Order: sequence, then structure tokens, then C-alpha cells
Amino acid sequence: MRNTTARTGFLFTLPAILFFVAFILIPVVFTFALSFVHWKGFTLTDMKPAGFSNFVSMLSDGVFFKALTNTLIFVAATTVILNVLGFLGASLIETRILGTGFFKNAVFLPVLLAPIIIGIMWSRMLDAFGIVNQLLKAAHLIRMPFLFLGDEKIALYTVIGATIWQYTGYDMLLYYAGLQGVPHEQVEAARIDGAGPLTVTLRIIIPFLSPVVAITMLLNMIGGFKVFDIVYVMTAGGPNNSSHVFATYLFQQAFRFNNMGYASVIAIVIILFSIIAAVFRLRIVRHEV
Amino acid sequence: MKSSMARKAFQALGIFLAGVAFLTPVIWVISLSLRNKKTVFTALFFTRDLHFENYITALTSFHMGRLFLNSAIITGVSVAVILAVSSLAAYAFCRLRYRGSEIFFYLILMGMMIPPAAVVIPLFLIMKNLGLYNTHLALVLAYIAFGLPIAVLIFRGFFLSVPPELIEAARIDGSAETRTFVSIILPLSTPAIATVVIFSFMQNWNEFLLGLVLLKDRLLYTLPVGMANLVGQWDSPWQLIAAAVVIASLPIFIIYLMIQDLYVRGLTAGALKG
Repeated sequence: MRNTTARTGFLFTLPAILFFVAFILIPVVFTFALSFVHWKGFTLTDMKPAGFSNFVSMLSDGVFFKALTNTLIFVAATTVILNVLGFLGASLIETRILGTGFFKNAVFLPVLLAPIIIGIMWSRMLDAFGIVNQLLKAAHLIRMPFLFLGDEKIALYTVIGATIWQYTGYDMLLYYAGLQGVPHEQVEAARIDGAGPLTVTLRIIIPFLSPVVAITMLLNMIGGFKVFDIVYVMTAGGPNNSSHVFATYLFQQAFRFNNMGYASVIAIVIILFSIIAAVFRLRIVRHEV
Repeated sequence: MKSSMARKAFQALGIFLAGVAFLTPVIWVISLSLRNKKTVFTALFFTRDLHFENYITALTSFHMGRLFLNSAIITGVSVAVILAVSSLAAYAFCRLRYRGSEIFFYLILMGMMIPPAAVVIPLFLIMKNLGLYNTHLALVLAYIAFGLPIAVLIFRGFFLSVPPELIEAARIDGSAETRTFVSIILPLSTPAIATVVIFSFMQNWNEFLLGLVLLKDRLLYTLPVGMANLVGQWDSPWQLIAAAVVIASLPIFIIYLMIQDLYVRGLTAGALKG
């Protein structure tokens, strides 16, 4: 009896294990192997051993460090701003004033769309003939069109702005779900004691929400570290490599320049960051759920 | 009394306008999709003459029907397989444990932390050597692998809440494990099934990087890859691209309106469980 149960159990899990091994585990191992070769990606016989040279070239690669700082800026900016806006939006719809139902759906709408679509929309909206430049011109704030995606100093922040517009609704709904559990008696008691809305928020609501804050921030960070689509479609890492993040730089090295070995080193960096995030994630989920 | 009514009306109006302001980019893109090829660069918002024919032109000249079909097939097949494979595995991880099953469970969970970008090069290499490069099957296989971990986690959480007595009763009746699973467990699991379907649907329908790397043939492209391919030329027909943007977004929006609560629960629960 026990044996058949174990056998059935194993057979039930086998397909999942096979998928994992074939398309995740083996590729991860492969990535580590590929980081020690020079390879153009065409035929397997082209591979040449490279020792640690791919790792060494990374140390002197300015674009890689640019992509690293950009990724960190992207993660920090989107995480902080999304959480603030998400909390504010959730507090607004929690009041259930007339109009908040529409507001909730309006802010959530972009979450449903593909990041590619968001990128296409915003690129066009911010280009020389887009509505933003038209309005700035009409207001006599600028004479020449302002190139939001063509300026090395600005491009990354433009992409960050579009990303925040897309995902505010997501954080808002996570916070809204969290707000449903806030103990009303405590809030009422504090109000009777004369606490203003700000005190109630800071002293009761935010401490109560701290698990939601932790999970939401973590989700934003994980999403930020693997961002690719919207950067690819809005700037492709440009102008002059100024807006690369990890994933776009990896893509460029692997599939535009055919440096599979070097790109694999970037992949390893991504894996390391993902493992750190996963450790935090496990800790938080263990503690709070 | 009167003044508080007025205040409420003002508040409601303010909130409504804030929502509309947030959607300005969407409204603007709709206006873009209804202009002609000259006003697409000059007008501010909607023009006097609305060119609805742009939608027909976009549908036909960008092969949008084909892109939709490709995305529907790939997403449909991968979501169906994810559902079957993850529910079976999760059930075994809860109720049919065997020596080593814990290790396999944690291994599969590890898959959740590997973003596709980290393994896109070896996947490209593997698919090429399997002769699957530039086929839909390559994407389906990859999507299943990346969709499984969270689906297993969601199902496992749900199965743990099913009372064990129910399963014991079925066992005493002499029902085989497979039958117990199909005729007792699955019918109880509709909430978990809905969550998994919505979460993996969103993930695969919008996926871009793997599609970009594993497909070469324009006629095989998924919707996001096909859409990204439209832009980039300096003289792109923007009134048509905008129409394509609206067409591509419409189905998801309609599904959302139909099953709003389920949708929100699927997306948030899926994320929080992970």
C-alpha cells in the first residue's frame, strides 16, 4: 500500500520535475559553462575555451557598470514611488467616496496591458510630435522639441516614469487588499482619543500594513531586476548605451553582437541578484503568511 | 446639509477627473488611431473627421489576426499543460509524499527565482539543437517550465486546506489515487484553478523576451513580438500602429470587465503566494 502510494506520488510529480530539469536547471548549469568560452552562437564546434577572460573583461566594461547602476536606480525608484503611490491610491479608494470605483478601474487598466504596448504608447507620446511636446510648446516652455528618449541623462528616467504609470494600479490593489484587514476598533478608539488622520495613518495603519509593505516592495524589486520589455521597446538601451539595464545589455551582447560567452557572465550576475531576492522572499513569506 | 451635498459632489467630480487624467495616454492613443496620416503628427487630440477605417487597415496590413491566433494557441496550450502538470504535482507534494519529494518541491520552487533573461542563451541553444527554434512548441515548452513553480505553490496551498478525511474516505472506498484526484479533488479546486489560469494567462500572453529570441518567422510571432516589430521605422504609419495598439489591448480589457473580481484576486493572490 505504502509503496504504491509513493510510486503514484512520484509519477504525479514526474512531468513537473522533467520540465524543470530540461528547461530551467540544465540551462542554468549551461550558463555557468558558457561563461568560460568564447562563442558566436552559431555552431557548437565554434566554441573556444576562454578561461576567466569573460569575467576579466567585465571588470573593465564601462557599459556593464552603467547597466548595473541603471538597474539599481530603476529598482530603487520604481519600488519607492510605486509603494507610495499605491498606498495613497488605496487609501483614497478605501474611503469609498462616489467616484472611487471608477478611479480604481482607471488606475488598474494599464496593469492589464503588455509592457510592450505601454512602451510603444509612451515613446510616441513623448517624441517630437507627441502630445507632451505639443503642450510644452503651446505653453511657450520650450522652443525645440524636448527629446525625452534621445537625451542620455533623461532616457532612463523616462522609462522609469512609464513603468510607474503602468504598475501603480497593481500596488494600489495589493495595499487595498491589506487595508481591508485594518482593525476598525483601534482606529475608532484612537479617533475618540483625539488622534488626527495623519497620526492614525502613521501610528496604526502603516504598522499594521508592514507585512503588505514588505511583500509589495519585494515584488516590485524582483520585477525591477528582470525588467526588459519596456526598456527594449522605448530605448533599446540607448542613446549611446546610457539606459541599459541587465537584461537589455545581455540581449545586446548575446543576440546583436554574438558574444554568447560574455553575455553568460551577465546572466550569472542576474542569477546572483535573483538568489538574493529569493532568500528575502522566502523569509518574508515564511514569517507573514 | 446643502453645502455637504455640494462638497460630496465636488469630491466625486475631483476623483472622477483624476481617473480620467490618469488615462490620458490611453485616450490620446485612441485619438491617434482615428486620425489621417497628416493629422497624426499635427493634431492635439481628436480631429473633426474620425478615420475608423484605420482599424480595418491595421487588422489586415499587420496580419493581426495571425498574431492573435499565434498568441492564443501558445497561451492556451501552455496554460492547459501548466494546469494539469502543476495540480498533479502539487497534490502529490501534499498528500502522496515519497522519499525525496520535499527536495523536488524546493527545487521546483527555485525555478521561480530564475528570470527568463538569465537562461535565454542556453534555451536558445537547446531549442536550436532540438530542432525547435522558430516553432511555437519551443515557446510553449519554455512557458510551461517558467509557469509551473508558482502554479504548484498556489495549488499546494489550496490542497493543504482540503480536509484529509475526504481523501481517506475515498481511499477506503477503494478508489485509485488518480480517480480520487480527478473526481474528488479537482472539482473542489475551482478557486485555485481560476487563480492559476488567470496568473499564467497574463504571464504568457504578455511575454516578450523569449518570443523575441525563439521565433524568427514573422508569421509565427506572438502579439507582443509582432507589435514591437511595427515600430522603429522613422516614417511608421502611426495612425495604424495606434489602431493596432487598441486592437491588441481590447480582448484583455473585455475579459477583465467580465470577471473583474476573479481577475484581481488571481493577480494579487498569485503574487502574494509566491
